[in-house]
Amino acid sequence: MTPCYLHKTFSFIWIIIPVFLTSLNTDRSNDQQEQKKKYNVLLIMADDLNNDMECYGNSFVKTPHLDRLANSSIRFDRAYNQFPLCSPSRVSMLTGFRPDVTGVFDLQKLFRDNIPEAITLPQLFKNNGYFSARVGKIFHYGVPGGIGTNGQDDSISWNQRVNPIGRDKAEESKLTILTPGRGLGASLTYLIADGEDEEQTDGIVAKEAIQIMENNKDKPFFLAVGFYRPHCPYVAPKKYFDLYPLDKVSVVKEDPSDWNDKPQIAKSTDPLNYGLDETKLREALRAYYASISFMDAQVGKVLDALERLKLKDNTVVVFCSDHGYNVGQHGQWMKQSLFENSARVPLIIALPGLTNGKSSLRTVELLDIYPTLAELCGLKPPINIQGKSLLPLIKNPNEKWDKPAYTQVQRIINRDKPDQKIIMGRSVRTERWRYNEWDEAKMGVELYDHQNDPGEFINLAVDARYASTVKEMAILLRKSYATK
Amino acid sequence: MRNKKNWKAIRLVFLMLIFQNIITAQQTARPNVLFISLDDLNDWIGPLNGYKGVKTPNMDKLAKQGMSFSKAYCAAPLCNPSRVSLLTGVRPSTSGVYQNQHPWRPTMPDVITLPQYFMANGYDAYGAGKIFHETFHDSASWRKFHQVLGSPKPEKVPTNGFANFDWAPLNANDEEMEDYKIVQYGIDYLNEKHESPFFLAIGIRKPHLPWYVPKKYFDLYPLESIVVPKIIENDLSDIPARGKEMAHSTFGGSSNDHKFILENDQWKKAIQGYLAAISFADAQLGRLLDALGRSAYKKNTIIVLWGDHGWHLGEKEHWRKFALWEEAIQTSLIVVAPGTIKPNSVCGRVVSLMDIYPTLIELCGLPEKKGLEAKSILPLLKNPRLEWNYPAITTYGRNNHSVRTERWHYIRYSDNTEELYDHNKDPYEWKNIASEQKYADTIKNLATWLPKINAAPPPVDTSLLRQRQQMRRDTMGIKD
Repeated sequence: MTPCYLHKTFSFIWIIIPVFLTSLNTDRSNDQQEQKKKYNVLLIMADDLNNDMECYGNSFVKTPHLDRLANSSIRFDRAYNQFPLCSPSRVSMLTGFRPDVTGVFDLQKLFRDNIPEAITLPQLFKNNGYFSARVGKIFHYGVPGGIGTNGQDDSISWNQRVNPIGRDKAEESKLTILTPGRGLGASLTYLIADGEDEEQTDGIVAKEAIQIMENNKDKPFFLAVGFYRPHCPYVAPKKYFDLYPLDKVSVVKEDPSDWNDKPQIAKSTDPLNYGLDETKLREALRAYYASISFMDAQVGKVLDALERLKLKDNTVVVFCSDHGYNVGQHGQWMKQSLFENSARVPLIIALPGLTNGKSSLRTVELLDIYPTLAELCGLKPPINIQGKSLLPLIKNPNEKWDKPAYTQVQRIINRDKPDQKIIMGRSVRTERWRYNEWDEAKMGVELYDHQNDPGEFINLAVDARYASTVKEMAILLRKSYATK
Repeated sequence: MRNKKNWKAIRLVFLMLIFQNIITAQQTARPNVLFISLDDLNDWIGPLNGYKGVKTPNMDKLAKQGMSFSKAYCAAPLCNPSRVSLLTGVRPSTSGVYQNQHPWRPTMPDVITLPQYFMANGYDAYGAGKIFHETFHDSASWRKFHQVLGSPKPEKVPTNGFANFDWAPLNANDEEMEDYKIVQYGIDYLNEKHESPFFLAIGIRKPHLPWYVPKKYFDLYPLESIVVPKIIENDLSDIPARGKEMAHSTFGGSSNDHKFILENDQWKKAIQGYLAAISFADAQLGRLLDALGRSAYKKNTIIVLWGDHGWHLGEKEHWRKFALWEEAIQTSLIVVAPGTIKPNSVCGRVVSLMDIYPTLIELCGLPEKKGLEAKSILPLLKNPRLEWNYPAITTYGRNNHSVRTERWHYIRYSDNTEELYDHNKDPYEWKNIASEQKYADTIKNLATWLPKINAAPPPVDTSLLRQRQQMRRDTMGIKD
């Protein structure tokens, strides 16, 4: 019902939007170009990628292709996900609603059960005449379990769907498992793979994405390309491992007093570092970095094709990850924590003719992608979506901006026991502060001053001098959700 | 008039001379103090029999010379605040020093610590090992303090546990252990001749984690002989949320200690490790006591031995300290005061570690120190059966308190939730009866002892930030 209705409404908007968009584009338009002004969208997502990339300041990690993209984009340096776990984060980003609205807090719940009428980002484009296609992991997929399937896809969002599967799936028996006992999808596990990039699932993702662009280059498209790496198992061809000699990889080691002032519920990895020794952690980190570089190379191929097919000048490229990833900070690994490394994501947006490698320090959210793309392409999103268009920041990265970023996680206490209890950890990030509350502050409070303490080492919530900051941040945090 | 004034002055000088003589005379007669602490020692020592079969021959011997206390409680169930309250006479709730990372000297710049007070009264105060929590050593408290750091480790760590929560026998001699060297400092000191009376503090670090001690101490406790504590199913079912949080979340440790222990079948091995560490510490204590016995100070030295707090080994699904239950707050206390205490006596009255400060002052004949939030237990040293109606107050974090009397144990958390245990009927604290109406008056009476001041914690120490940042930079370089 709703999509139909919207479709009618928006067909009229299309007529006026190209006119509006000429103001964004530098070159003057004639009729023929006007037709082309309808931007394509290329949304590229990585899985479990944190900001360990050269363009984000970690020069140890080689990401030449994403760096190249960043050079012609706006790079958001303070971009945050809403729930650092695949499904909740992706659903939030793609529906435009915070997890409290989608009701998706785990990997099982399907959002259509809770919000059947939602119009997803690709669905909005599809409803408005775009060719909407997905390759790989955009909605949640169990990795590696679901590779090659539709995962928890939303079929009505797409005109075409491709589910690549590569030799990594066939070679799971060869994996080196550093954390026996943990499921493959949540383990420190890697494979120095034989063969070529193209044989890996992510290599096929790139190939299929290029194919779709070739086939549809003459009509407006919304193409979502979802890579599966660097999600574990960390599988990449050997040449990517060779970029990181084991003895050059340095693992994080925290001061033993690090956890003295932090609530224990903040831990997602317990025991710290899974109790692994430095050698194993180093192996894991090398494999994670190798997977990043491998994924980066596949992104490079898609970007090359965009150029080759002369689509670059009328395609908005968005690159992001579904959430961040701890690699030993505070002894934590992976996601599901409220620390910066888990809450933060890379977010790069290339808008032809407008972005040129600048970065913005404003706090933005994955939620903001939906209204941004809708505005850029002149589509009208559902009025109740919760993000805010980033267009003002794309035009001026230093534009005044007072929207903080919110992130939440869920914890299950006394799992499978009669007194099992599910609680929420909630975080609000401003440009200076991160403030976290566990179970509405009943199970702990954290305050970190990113101006002086970007590593989040000192919890100032226990410091009486910061009582007023805590109070202000608590009010700000509560603005993001309805308290019971 | 004028003459009268002069006469007054002369009389004053005269009196001062007399007092001076008395003080000097007293000083020569004043007893020395041997002040011995053991880190993380609960009541698992022979004289208190907290674990049947623990082997602590030296503590047994020490107890025979003096008095052991079967109901001695810490003022805070973790190192820094417990030690600071004992050594300053200021409760955690008055100072705001609640946690291990809370610096205490900046919040109490003028406080006179126990060794400082002895120094102000003609003593020499020397120390070695862990007396104050390491991070907050206080140079004003000592003439000289000797620090020893570093014991051997097993080849592969963690061996049986995780991180610091680990236990394993060492292929090492006692001589290589830091506690051996700490005690050696004390032995050397006792072998020397000293002009002034002394306050000698020896802080033994074991049985603090990790429990890496020479193998012979593990061999004292064959695994098949180990008995795990008595527990009941769902012991936490009647505990308020704050209490459960304490059970499952320990500062600086792991919220999954007990889960880890069960899943990895480490309960007996962990207990074996703790017992081995206790017996190792006891052996070092023995060397110190032997040295005192051989020294010139044998007859004129008061000995106080104390643990800084209790330790859970699975009771209430909890490990370590960091809680307000009996296992976390009760610890060991033995006092030897020749001539005052009847040898081999046991006192079952409730006492607090904070009582040590005023008691030592009184035992040594120092002027009374005003403002201490504790009382001398000298009357109990003279008569352990004396009626004694003072509860022990323990504080863990702001506004969480325990009030322990001989019969009752009352806990009040900051959200006003409560626990009450009747030790006459329930020595293991299995049944929280706080909600039963018939105990309302009991609770009301116990609550009158709750501290009236609950100070805010001190400002965070910025040097800690630098230290943690540096550590990450050292290993990571690019990660900040």
